[in-house]
Amino acid sequence: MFKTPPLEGSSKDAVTIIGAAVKVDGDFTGQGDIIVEGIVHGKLKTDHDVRIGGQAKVQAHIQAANASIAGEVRGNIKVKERLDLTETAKIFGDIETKVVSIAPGAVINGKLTMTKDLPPDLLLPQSEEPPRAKKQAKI
Amino acid sequence: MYYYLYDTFLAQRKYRDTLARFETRVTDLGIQGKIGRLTMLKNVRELMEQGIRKGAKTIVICGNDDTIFRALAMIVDARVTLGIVPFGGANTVAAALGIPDDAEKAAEALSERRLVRLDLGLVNETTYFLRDCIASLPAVSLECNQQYQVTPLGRTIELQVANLPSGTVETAHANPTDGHLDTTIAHRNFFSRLSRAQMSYIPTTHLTVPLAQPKPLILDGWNTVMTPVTIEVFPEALRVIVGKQRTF
Repeated sequence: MFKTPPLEGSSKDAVTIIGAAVKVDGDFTGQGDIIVEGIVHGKLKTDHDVRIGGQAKVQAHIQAANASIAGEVRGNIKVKERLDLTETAKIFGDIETKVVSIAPGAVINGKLTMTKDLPPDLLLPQSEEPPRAKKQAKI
Repeated sequence: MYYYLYDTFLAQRKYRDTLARFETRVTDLGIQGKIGRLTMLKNVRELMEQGIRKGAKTIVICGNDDTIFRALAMIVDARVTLGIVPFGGANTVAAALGIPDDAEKAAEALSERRLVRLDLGLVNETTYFLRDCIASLPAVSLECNQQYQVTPLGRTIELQVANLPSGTVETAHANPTDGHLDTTIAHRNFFSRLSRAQMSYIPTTHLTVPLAQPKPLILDGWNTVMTPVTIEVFPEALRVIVGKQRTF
């Protein structure tokens, strides 16, 4: 029935598929991967992966481990690991992710914040103050 | 103690040899017990009550899906273990539980006694189902898990709430030990065929169909409940003997 393969790195938990012919209203918290082809209003949250299809219209905040978006999303997106935006993706909201891939043609109207951890050698010890410019001696 | 419940069709001549071999194997394996034979005059309830009164801890249904479904409520309420020996056609439950089709091999599976606790579906807090619940309904907003609503965009929907794989592609994901029921919402296209491309699949623990107009829901292919209904999962409600080849 469901020919769409599960997302990479998916778990044994059940996949939720919101088909093109339904509309979901409310806080949708899934246990496994979520595939959206229809309409969602509210909140979309999972510890696993989210895939938003090309015809999907999502008016919700999204929270997931990984996300792949081809449709329209109006709301903030918070992704723990990787976010893929295809050429048909339209995002109206802020994005927070560690890794992002944006195809040419994708539309983003919002703030993009990268949360990638910095390597330890670039981090300052907490007690140390950031370096300041040396004051020039007055002549 | 084992109590073997034979369905009426096992009285047919064609099952005589198979039954004789099965009974010999049961004796060899040391799992013999009392036998109750369903007839036109003795129904499942009567025989089950009789078996439980005599101290049966395991009820072995010798028959098909229909025999199991009719005995289900009593087995759950009496908290006895269910064993299955498939006979005749339509044995989707035995197949899902990994019980071999051959009666002698099924007896061996019984004697190995691999026990699993299965979830059941519970409708309106009164009626159980083991395999699935099916309905053809006008478009209505379904309340899922008491958190969100699913509204079909078409005029009618085919609703299936599955607990156990029944050999169809739609129920292939169903797992009666995962703590939820698998809800499939499908639509019929112009030719009255199910549009698979538009199907939705939602794991649920609690589903409300708030349709005031009475429409039938078919539970396990034989029992009927009318809308409005609340369907929820009843976790680990049924203790059952399974085989090595179970599908979940």
